[in-house]
Amino acid sequence: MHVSPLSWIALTCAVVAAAIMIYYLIYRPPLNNRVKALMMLAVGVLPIMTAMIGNLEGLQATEHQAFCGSCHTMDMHIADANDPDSLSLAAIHSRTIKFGDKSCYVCHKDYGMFGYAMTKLGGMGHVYMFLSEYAWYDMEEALPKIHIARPFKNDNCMQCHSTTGRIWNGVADHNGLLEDLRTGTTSCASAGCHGYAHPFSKPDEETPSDAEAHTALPAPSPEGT
Amino acid sequence: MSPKVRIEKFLDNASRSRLMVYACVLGLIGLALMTWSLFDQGWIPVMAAMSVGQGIGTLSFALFLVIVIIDLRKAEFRPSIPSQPMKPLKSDDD
Repeated sequence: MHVSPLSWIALTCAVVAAAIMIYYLIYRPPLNNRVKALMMLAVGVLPIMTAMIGNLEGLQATEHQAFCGSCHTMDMHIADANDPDSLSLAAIHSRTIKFGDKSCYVCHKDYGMFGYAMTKLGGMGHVYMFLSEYAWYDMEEALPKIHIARPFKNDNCMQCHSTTGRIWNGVADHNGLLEDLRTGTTSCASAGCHGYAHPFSKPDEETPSDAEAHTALPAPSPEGT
Repeated sequence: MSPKVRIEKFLDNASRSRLMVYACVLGLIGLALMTWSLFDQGWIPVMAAMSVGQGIGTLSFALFLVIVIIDLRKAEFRPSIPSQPMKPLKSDDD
């Protein structure tokens, strides 16, 4: 559990507001101007501050693995991403500081102009799917049915791997498929390329070869990718 | 009875202290939901705080505003400084 300084401010506002409201409920003072001003603080100003900070903290919380992993259907995805021995794309990326605890969000977010809002709308879709269907499945039932809503965009990979670096273009497969990769015709995270990000969830499991895994672990310099 | 008349009748007869009690109870429930998400950042507390919690909190504040409206309807407005008596205008002949 992580409580930020902002959360403490929100909590203080909430405690003061609650104390005033409980005082009113117990003693029921007459509603003169002074009491009304106090109640304006208790039911207006302080709860609004709590709500605003809560929104800020809540939206930030949605970027962390703890939030994504709070649905039981994501247990195996999170476990694999955090497995130090796993060679899946999700695990390799989660081990880097750029992704870390936010690896789900950094890979799956929409990087477009309205990306933040679109990502949150997509998340609401996930909540609907979970509540309407997957909440009632155990992991074994849910795993074969869970699938990404839309094909994973190469644009998300290209936020870091720009496809312009010398080292990246030195790989024959990259060079030969450059346009396909940039337009998304060929997916980076597909069988035959780097394999699925969460291979355990696919019936035709595709994992990086040993040679590929060894080259992936020491992260190349950003200029080279 | 039209909605307008019904609202006016409600504003004339409603008990301010009772409304304040409702506002406090709703406010406490809303605050509890909103603060829950500060400690547990799973999807249920976070979404409950940002939807149900804030909805209940807004309802609580709306009840307080109703109390303010009731008071404003019953308030007598009068200028705080009494107006000065008008001095008779001097005619141009003087």
